[in-house]
Amino acid sequence: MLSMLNIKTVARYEIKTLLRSWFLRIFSLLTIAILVFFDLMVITDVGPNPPWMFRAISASIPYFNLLIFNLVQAVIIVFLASDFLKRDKKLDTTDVIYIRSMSNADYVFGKTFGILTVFSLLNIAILLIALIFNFIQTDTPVVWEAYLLYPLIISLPTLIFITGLSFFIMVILRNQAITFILLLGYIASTLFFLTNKYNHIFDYMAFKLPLMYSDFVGFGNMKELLIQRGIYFFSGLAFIFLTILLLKRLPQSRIMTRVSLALVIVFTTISIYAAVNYLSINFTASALKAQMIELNNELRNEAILNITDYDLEIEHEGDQISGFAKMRFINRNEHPVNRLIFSLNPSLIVDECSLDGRPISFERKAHTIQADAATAIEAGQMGEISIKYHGAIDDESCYLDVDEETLESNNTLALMNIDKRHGFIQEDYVLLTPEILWYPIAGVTYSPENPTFQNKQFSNYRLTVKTDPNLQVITQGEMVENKNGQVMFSEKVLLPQISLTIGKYEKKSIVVDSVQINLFYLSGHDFFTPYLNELQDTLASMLGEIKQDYERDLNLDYYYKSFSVVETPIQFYSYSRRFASYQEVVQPQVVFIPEKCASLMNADFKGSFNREKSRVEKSNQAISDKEIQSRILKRFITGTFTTGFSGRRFNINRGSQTEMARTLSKPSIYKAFPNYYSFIYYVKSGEWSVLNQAFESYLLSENQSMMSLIQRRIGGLSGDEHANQLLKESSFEQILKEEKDKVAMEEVIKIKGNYLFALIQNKIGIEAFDNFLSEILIAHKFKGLEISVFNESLKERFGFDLEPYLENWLKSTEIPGFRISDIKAYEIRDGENTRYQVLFTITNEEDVDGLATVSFRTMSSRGGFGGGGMPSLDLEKILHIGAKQKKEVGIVLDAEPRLMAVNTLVSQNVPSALSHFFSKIDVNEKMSPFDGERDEMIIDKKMDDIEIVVDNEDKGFQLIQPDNESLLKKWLKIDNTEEDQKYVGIRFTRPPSNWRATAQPEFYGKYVLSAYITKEGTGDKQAIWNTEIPGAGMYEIHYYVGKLPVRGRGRSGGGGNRGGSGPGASRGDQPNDPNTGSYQLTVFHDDGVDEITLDIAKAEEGWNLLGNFYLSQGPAKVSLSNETDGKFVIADAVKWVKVND
Amino acid sequence: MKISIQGLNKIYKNGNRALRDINLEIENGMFGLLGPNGAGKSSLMRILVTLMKPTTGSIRVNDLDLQKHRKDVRGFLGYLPQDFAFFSKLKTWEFLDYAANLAGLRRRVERKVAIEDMLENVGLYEVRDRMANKLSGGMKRRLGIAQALIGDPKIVVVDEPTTGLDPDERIRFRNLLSKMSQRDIIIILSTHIVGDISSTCSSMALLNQGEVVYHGPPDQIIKEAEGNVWQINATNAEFESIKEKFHVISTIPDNDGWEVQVVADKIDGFSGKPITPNLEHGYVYFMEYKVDQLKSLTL
Repeated sequence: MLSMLNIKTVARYEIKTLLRSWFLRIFSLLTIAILVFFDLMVITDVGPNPPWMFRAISASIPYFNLLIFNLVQAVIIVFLASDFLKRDKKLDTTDVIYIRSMSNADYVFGKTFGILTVFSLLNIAILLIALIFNFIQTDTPVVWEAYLLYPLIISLPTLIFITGLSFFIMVILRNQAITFILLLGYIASTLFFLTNKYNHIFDYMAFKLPLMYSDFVGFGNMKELLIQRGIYFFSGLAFIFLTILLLKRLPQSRIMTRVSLALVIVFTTISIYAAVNYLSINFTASALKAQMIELNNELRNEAILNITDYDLEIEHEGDQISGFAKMRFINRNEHPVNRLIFSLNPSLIVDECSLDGRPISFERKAHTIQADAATAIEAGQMGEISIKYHGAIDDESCYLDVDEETLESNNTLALMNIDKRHGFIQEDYVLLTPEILWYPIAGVTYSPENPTFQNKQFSNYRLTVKTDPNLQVITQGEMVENKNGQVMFSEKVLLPQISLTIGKYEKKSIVVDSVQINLFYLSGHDFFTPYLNELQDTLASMLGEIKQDYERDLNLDYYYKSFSVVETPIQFYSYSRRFASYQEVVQPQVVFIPEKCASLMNADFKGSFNREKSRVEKSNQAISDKEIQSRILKRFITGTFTTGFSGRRFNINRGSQTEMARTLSKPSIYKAFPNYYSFIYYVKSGEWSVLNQAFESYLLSENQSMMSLIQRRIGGLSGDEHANQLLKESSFEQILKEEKDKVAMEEVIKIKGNYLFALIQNKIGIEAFDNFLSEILIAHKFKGLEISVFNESLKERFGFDLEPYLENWLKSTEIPGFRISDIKAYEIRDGENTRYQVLFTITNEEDVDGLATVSFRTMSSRGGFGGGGMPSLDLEKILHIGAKQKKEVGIVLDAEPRLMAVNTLVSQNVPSALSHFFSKIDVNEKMSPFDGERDEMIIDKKMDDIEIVVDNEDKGFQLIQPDNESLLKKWLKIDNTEEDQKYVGIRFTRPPSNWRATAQPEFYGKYVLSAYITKEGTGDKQAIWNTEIPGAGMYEIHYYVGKLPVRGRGRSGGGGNRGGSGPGASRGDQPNDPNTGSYQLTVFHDDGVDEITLDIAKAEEGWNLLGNFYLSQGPAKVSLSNETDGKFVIADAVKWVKVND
Repeated sequence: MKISIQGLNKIYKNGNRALRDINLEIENGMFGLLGPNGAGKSSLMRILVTLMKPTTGSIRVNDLDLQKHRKDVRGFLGYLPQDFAFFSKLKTWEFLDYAANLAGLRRRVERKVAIEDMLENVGLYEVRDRMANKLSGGMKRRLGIAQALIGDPKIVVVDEPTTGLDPDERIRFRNLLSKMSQRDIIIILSTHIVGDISSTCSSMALLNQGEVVYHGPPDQIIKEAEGNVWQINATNAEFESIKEKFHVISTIPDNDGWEVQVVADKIDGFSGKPITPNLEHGYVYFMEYKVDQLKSLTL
């Protein structure tokens, strides 16, 4: 049997040897040094802009440190563990140990304990370092249990497993190099491919396992975590015992051999059982969801009752609730209803169902309650249904509209993974939103057969909650009673839904504009007061100002008496919806913000204050602390709840440049907007259900054209352009049904919505429409606006019928394309006044009509780059350009225009929004003002005869590039998000190694201003422009050079500031100027082949003549090689112009 | 102590037959195992120290079957393998401490005394804190014997212990073993250096191609060679012819030519005198003449 003394001896000497290993010493010291540096930069105030996350969620300090160290130790241990057997094989001295009287188990255990001891010590050292930093950062309390739990959950199973696996593989293969390669390959594959598969089952290192520890609910997923870690802990043990059996040393204890064999079997069984169990959690959830979707499809057309009053009684105890829902209803259908359909969280057990006090029979299938009314409920009949239920909740059954891939994707912040939970019922914490179906709702939920349909009803709510009297209950409405641990709430305003939160909350309140604004935060989470302490007397007025500004922008009112911001566990997660523009984090009167605002921008009040203060001090400005505090808070509030854009999505998406551009335009998900619109108004339409979202997105879109301009500089395609790319291929209807990418779908809804409203505005006028819209919405608040009613009113008031357009709007697969040219602006005299005339030409050469909005930023526009948020653009005109139509457009402005933005809404144009900066405006006193549109002829000038242009988007354009993508890269599919996109954002400092298309306003194109770019090379890559020459003759050949903007310098007003430059001075001489190098172009002509070198720095912006060449009728071509003395080459367009026969 | 080996065979997986039907009785004292390289000495040793299983046959140690009672037998083993040069990163005393611990010296004080004694005995006390890897070749061998002897083993197996040692160290080493062999202990010394055995062993076996070709006291081999070892004073021309005809054991140049020692039944045509053989002569005589005879007999 085992001899502890032998084990101790072997372990002791293993420890000695390991601690003397330079490999271990260097690796550990390096890791410790890196972590210390990192901690210093992100946890303390030493770093320039430490992320708030680490200080907000205290447990993230030990979590992050251990997560990184675990990754390193998993690699080191592979080496060291496989090394022990290699050493044993190589060292002849091992024999003298092997002949000693000890069992193989003694020896393997000794070695294992040795390794584990050394690594445990290192883990302790890492945790101590984390703890020291935790102590240094005094405002981040130490979460002691995290320091205990993380090593047990992250390190221990990893160590046992990888040690066992290394031993086992080494014993089998007896070759350290192969073992090492095999195991590193395994580590890499678990890290790069397999981690997210099947709910992280392959993630033995717990690198991607959601382990963020919340002050509210701890891990919140302890059972799952234990099962997942158990798989590796026990299989590690099985491997260790297997090593005992397979060790190349004659065994001496038969009992121990048998025990080892038995334990191998036992541990393997436990591990497999855990794995099966773990997988089944996932599979059961998927199966349940499939069943739910099937039921929803089946029952979606069943008549549902309209619930007018909810009287809910909820009792919370432990991890369960029991509920009694009394629902007053009216049958608003035109026919009697026999079958009553309700939805309720599938893991809640329904005890009883009664109609008007009499029990009725019911069937419970997944989330549905299908009750039999016994006698039919006639049209218009009212009554009361009550449902009694109890149980725990299952939050895996939420989000039927979200695809698997999105559900499986990680919620990662700074490498740390946060679980995605949609509801909680724990002893001391409850968070329930409508998505979790914690109370019965009439009808079914999401059905893919009508993806944008939302079952929305407005009802009166009364809620009574019984829970631990020490806990605070937060829900909609006013608290009307609070005694004996029973709290009653009632809301007079009709609501579409309610939420319930119970926890150890503390509350701060302030009344702003007769609305009570509450902040509920977990006891001990007041991280903000010390940095906002001077604002007490001005807070109300500041909040009032923000509120009024926002309401003015929206042109909507706030109807509720209170607004609560509620802190939630960091794991509380919501997705964007197919049927709504808002997420679960926003509920009527309530916004759920993440724990300590960890993932929100501008939430680090302390850091912001210190940085702002030092900035102020450096610039000797006389700004008080109060003013600084006020700025910080204002930035946070507007950024999060009103006009800001999301910071959170950056981390969820893979962070490619293209993604970044698209997500930048996403508004913050915590915006108060749904409380102004979505929970009050509702556009009802069975067939056109997406219209509701189109209305929302129209009201939400702010400064869109400006946003598009900014995005263009960051990445490839903007959200609008991306949406247009989709619309070029499929109809709106198809996209709504099939598009998996929610962000893309929202973008499509946004541009289609804007298009639809621009269409109406174009017919009836911008202002008239806006007034009409707000009137009709208000008239239908809390009951929903039927689209037919909307259209009838539109017809009645303006004689415009929207209906005929809707079909095409939803189903058309063609989109227009615009060319905008001859933009001019003059200062003119209009009687006594100085006014400004803007003229331009817009052409739509496609077969479908299109719309474009024209906006201006003038000298008197509100906002500006220096102020808060985006400079605003004033919408001036909406143009309707018919198929194959050309128009001259005249606009007269009162103020001097600085910038004109033409947004082509739904079109093939890239960029979809054209911006034009007016650098110089000439005075033209004779010109009479022209405000309107004049049709022009599209002159079909048979351009082919005299001028042929081949652009990179044309058929004649061809790219030659060797397939040099490494096999490994292909195999690993690294960076495939970028590969999937046609147009990518390009960093000119790091051009792509293969030809990639990129869109920039400087490039040539019919609608798509794009070009291909690749980094400099040996001439192995080429771009070729082919054409057919219609008639022989002498041709000028031109090459298009789109000059890229110089980084760090504005483009507006270019030209004037370089007036004094000598002949040698060119753009190429400026630092950071990407327009450098010379291109090698080859022209093929009748007299042979000419190599032409084009110096980009000296080239003209636009067409550059390469020379005159004689060409016969038939094929002709020009090619560009990637050989250059610059950093990259850009292939854009070539033009052949006939000069004579 | 008594080791009895019966019908021991070892055939490796590659078909190489390392040991053929070995039968040996080994009793207290020094036992020499002599044979040319590849004779099967190391295989026999490795089986004796439980590092390897025989293919067939049995070994009994004090009537305990080695295969069934590995735990007990390992309890009184000490072993110095042929190659003993690479250590893990341990100091001299630590390595000895590790071995002592596993050899059953559990009490720290007891172990400390034993280690210090042993270090004194093998002359490594001065370098006890030096890393074992940094010791000279001789020191490493001494450390090897020290670890084999620590914890009072009853059977000590040493494989080619004196290879690479200088004469001084070799003598010291032999003396150490002799001293040890006075106790109730079996020391099995495997070597191809005849001198190691002649000076110390009371009993020996001669192994050739996996077979025991001689088993008995070393004197017997010497005796067999009596009258067959000659010293010839030869000219240069004769020397060439001698080299072709006889098994030359040693040559020393002298004034007129060479003084040559050869093993032969007779030295027809050369003038020489018979000399008293030593074990080396006996070994050569045995290997050259007797083994061939034995083989022809068995054939």
